[in-house]
Amino acid sequence: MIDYLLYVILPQVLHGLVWGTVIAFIALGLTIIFGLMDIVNFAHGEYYMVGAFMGYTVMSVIPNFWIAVPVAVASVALLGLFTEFILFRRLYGREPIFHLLLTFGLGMMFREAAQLIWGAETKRMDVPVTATIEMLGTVYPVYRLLILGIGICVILLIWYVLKHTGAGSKIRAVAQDRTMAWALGIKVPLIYTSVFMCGVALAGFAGVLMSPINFVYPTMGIDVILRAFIVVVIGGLGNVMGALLASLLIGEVEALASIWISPTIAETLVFVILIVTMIVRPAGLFGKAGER
Amino acid sequence: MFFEVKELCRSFGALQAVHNVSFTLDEGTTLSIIGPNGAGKTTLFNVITGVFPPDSGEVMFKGGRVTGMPPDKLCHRGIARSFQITNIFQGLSVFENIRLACQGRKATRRMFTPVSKLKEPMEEAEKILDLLGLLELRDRRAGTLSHGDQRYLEIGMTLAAKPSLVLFDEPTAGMTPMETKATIELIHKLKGMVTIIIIEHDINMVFAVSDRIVVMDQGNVLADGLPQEVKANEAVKTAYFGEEL
Amino acid sequence: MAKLNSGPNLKKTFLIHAIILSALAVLPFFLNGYHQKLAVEAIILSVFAMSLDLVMGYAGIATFGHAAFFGIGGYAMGVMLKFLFPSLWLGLIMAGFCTAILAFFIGFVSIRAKGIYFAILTLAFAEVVYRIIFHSYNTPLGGSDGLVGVPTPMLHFWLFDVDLTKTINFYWVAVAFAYLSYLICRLIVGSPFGSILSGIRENENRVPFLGFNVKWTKVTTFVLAGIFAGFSGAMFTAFKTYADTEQLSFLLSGKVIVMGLIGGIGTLVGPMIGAVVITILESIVSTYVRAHHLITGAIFVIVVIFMPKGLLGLFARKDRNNNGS
Repeated sequence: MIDYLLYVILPQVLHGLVWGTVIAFIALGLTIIFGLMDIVNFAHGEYYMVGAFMGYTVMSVIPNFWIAVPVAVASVALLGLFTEFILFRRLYGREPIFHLLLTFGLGMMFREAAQLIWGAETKRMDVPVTATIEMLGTVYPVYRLLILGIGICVILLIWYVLKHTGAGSKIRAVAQDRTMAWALGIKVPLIYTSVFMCGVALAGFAGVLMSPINFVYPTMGIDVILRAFIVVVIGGLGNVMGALLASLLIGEVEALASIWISPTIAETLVFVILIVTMIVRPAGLFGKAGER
Repeated sequence: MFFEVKELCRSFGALQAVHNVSFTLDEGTTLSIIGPNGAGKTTLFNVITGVFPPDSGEVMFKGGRVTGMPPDKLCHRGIARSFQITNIFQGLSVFENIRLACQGRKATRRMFTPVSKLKEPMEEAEKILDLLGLLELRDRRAGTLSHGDQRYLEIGMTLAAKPSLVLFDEPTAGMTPMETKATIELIHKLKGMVTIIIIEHDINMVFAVSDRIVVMDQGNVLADGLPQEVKANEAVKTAYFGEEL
Repeated sequence: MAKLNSGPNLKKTFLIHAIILSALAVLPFFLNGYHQKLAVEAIILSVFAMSLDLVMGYAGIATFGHAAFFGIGGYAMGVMLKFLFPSLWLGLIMAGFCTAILAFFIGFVSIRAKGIYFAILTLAFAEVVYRIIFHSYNTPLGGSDGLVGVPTPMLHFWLFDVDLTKTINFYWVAVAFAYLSYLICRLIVGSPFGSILSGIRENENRVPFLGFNVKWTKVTTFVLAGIFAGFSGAMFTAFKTYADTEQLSFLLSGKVIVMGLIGGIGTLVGPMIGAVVITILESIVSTYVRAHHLITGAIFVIVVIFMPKGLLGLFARKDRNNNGS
């Protein structure tokens, strides 16, 4: 019994934490972008994918993972700047149906472009840190713990920035009332663009971090985006805390469920959770009905 | 008792918007509810018309309990309301606005006959437009009407379902003096046919149409009586003018 | 709103319909086999796009999972034709029945959520349906391979039979199907029910105060749209002789919205035209260009940026305030 707990359950719990953290990276970007600009970005997963591919590309030139990571993140941020300026600006103030279409189309373009540039086969990446650590009698890969650690640091950093810095309060001001914020002299378009860049850069960061584990292929964005959306909705659109908690919840549910049922069914389970949540609390677990 | 409100309470967080409001209403009377801004008048209307339920208290109509009933059910029971901020269908024509409101009485959901074949709503709509003096504007898009005409349309939509109790929320808001005068005449016309509750700020109008006045302040009922009584009431004067007169 | 059924208008409408129908009737004689097949697809898909218009253009509800009904209708027809009875009528009935139940379930459950949440819920449900069918490889439904080998059905009328194996025959049946569906939808939209929809689209907040139950009206519309989507999916499968998971995909849900937007939602006819345009465009693009998803995606983007009002220019108003809150 204890063995089962330690050797089967515990690693999965940790897997769930790691996966939850990765989803949180993506979901945080999504929910903050939505909370701030009311943009529903179905192409968000593609930034994750681009991050992974950029990491792969850098690695094939300079085989140093820890150089590849910041380069990948920076390039995704640049891509974010580019797309925000040219495309996402046009979505401000419009009905979500237009967001869906534009971002979905954009996603299709990204996927196809990735396929044209890098080919459709899955690319394998070597885990940069192959050490494992002994924990309570079982062995667990250090790299995953590293991701978890990085994840926690980044999330805390975001939390700190939002709550305790001047920039953070400007962001929150714009999220609450953009006209007022503008009237107070806050440069709203600048905030929009920078937040968007950070949001997608986060996704790219997650992408490159996860690439040694999940490998790199053009459709990897699709796999995460649906989960991220579910998380964001369960947590309440625009609710940062909600997104965090929901990410962990979903990460754990998937990880634990796949002990007993196949991963694909575990995936379907995630959707079912969304549906049940919506029935019980239509605005998300932490969302308020009046909020957008 | 035709209409009765018993100790209605409604809070939003720490703000007690409506506190222990009670009054009764005889059929055919016109009651005005007045009070400074923030007194809770519109919240009271919202509670009565089913926008949200009260925290406690009852609303009784024609002997039946209607507390917390949703707006569509209240409409069928005979309670209708108009809104302080014009709440019409901007993109539809004036006629379509009223006709749709008339359809609401029986809430026909027939799908396979053209709507123009519905005799009753079509005729009723004509009558109401006539009553309001909006017949010439019938095919205009409602959004293109002047503010005053839009307020009339608003009133018309409220009357369309042939309610026995009508709640008007600041019907003359933003109207010119001439339009206000016409509204007063309209209400006089309606007096025998429906029971009316009006929220109003225009004191002249209030004294012109009311059989009774209820004064609210900070969620409470401050005074309740005939217009002359309320006029002379000291507490009311204090609430409005903030000083002992 | 159309003012039908007044003397000269009726004659004019009748004339227009007659001209269009005649043109459609003779069209196949000018097309080669491949193009005839494309025409059939386009016409069937036009009903799918029109069904979405009921929900999006008339009731003002955004739904991201409409393909679920198309696909289920297709599978229902497939199952009927392959395993039960090779009759088009029975297949349509089965498709209508299944999609009605599914649409009612999804609509009823989701209606508690508003605006974007509702749309995401419909997406979630559609994805669940997709995944269930996708993983059904051990059942006759075929999983990701799809339900293949669907025999072409018999179409029995009272006095004569139609041989549906001939594309041109199927074409005429498809035109009849589309026209009939259009007439029914027109009737619905011009009915008292239809005016409630307009009210909901224009100002949902006021509608309950007029005496209507908004939730039920929305669910009913959702079911109606689902049924027509199911019918078109059924016809699609009957024509293509297979049903596959692509008919359930999010891609298709997105495509049908684009069809609606290009043609102009809120017109019934607009989305039908949009469906034809998209079908033709896709076929041209995939013939000449290898990376056709890139082009399709670009089309989505371009439509949103440059053609928000569509060809028939109707989806103008309220970009921000009618999210059903």
